[in-house]
Amino acid sequence: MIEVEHITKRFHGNVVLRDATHCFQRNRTTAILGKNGSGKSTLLHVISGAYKPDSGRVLLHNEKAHVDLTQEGPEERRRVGVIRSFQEPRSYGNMTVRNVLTIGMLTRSSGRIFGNGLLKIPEAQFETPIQDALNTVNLFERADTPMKELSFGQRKLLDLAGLILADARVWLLDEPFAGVDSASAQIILSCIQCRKAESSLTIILVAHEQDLVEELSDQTVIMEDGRIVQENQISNQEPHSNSEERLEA
Amino acid sequence: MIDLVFHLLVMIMIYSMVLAGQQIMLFRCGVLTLSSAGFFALGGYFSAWFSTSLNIPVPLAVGLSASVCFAFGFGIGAPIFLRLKGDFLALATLMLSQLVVSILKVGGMGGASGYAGVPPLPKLLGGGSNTYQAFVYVAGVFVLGAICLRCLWQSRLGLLADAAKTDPSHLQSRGHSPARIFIQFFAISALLAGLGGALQAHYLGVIEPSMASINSTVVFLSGGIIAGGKTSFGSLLGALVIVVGPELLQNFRIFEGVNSWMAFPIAKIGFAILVIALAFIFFRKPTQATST
Repeated sequence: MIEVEHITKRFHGNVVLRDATHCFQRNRTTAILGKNGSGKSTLLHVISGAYKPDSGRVLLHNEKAHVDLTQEGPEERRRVGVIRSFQEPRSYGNMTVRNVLTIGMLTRSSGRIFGNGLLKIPEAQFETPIQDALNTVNLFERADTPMKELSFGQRKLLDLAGLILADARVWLLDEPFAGVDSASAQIILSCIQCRKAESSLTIILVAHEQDLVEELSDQTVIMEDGRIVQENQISNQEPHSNSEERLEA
Repeated sequence: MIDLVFHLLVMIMIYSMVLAGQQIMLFRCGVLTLSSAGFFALGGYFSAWFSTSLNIPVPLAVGLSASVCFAFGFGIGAPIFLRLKGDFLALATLMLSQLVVSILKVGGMGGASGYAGVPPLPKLLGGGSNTYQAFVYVAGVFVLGAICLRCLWQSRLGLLADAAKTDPSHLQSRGHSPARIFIQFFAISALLAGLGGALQAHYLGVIEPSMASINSTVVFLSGGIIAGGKTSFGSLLGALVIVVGPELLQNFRIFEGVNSWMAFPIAKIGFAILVIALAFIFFRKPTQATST
């Protein structure tokens, strides 16, 4: 469970989040909806630790940990299994797809200073999971391609493959379907659904695609002017095939 | 003549170690740090102190002083990299070198004028001149260092450094702190600079506070930039330019008839012009097309 408590965030005096409070349930998918500028992505940034809030806290409770995510560094967030994707997929330039996914694999390991950092990368051990992840997102032929040569959509898919490999418990997804074609959106949707079915996963996503959100989410919260103003439960999840038809349309 | 060649090779390899540290921070981590000269001096002073005051054998003193520099790099790097970035980080590391100069002038061996009784490097392989012996010793350390660096780039830390340089915020989102990665490389860079300083101290037999001066900082930075980030042999190239360049210019016919005390400053001016000319030739930005 992730409890967002009275989060306020200002940028140069402009209040972007005003006392935002909500409890994101464990093992459920919650979509944050709202108009542009309502504070959705900022809230995700605060939960992921990219932004420090001016006031308030983000508490994570699970069987192993009770931590305030606003006070923790990247290593601690990794230890409790919180990971995020970006609206604009990042590029590591000349780094190959395989190396980018190796970083995803390293996310599983220890974060101690000089802990196991000086060890050689166990390429043989990493090969199978990396190939599986590439197959899942349909990028198996691009393993040795430099990341800068991938299209926007392919970089989104690669980001998702990185999330799968990181083996995290909480996924924070910032507009996972934005800017991708319907085929890629379908891959992303199926991947997230499969992952949800296979393991207990808490997902908080920001999205504008109403149909896909309804397909994927258990709950939606609506933001307006930096506040969470409404929450809705989505009870009737439609079968997977329906979403495929909608995407085709 | 052969001694001069060995002398130049020894100096190139020693400087190459320091430049490799500078190269790591500048090109592999993408962070400008200006403390190599400070750690270079610390390495030299610690090794001299270990071997003279504590009577520790020279090879062990060299290793110990490099380890001390590593520890200093770690301890000093932690607050710097966790709290600062960009220009202010560079400024803090520059001030670190200046702090070392001031401390060494007051409390270092020999005070402001330095110390000239540093024991020489041990003889390893039978006969040969002292320069040749030093060459064998330094070459051994150099090869070992090169192998370690190669392993470092094939390690998890090497991959994470590449990622931290290219996109620190993404790496952070994957649960790796770029600052912590940079701290580790800063410590390795300090170790390399300290190792170079210790070897030079025992090779030349002299240590002085100016080892950490602004002048040394500029020389190491220039060498690091010349070394570039594209090849692992870059540090050798950088060291070749900063060691051999001034030596060659100093021996040009142009200096015949010039007072010897003037030759070195003129050589340095010539070297600076050479470096700027090379930068304009090889690193010039492409001219932008202008619309008419």
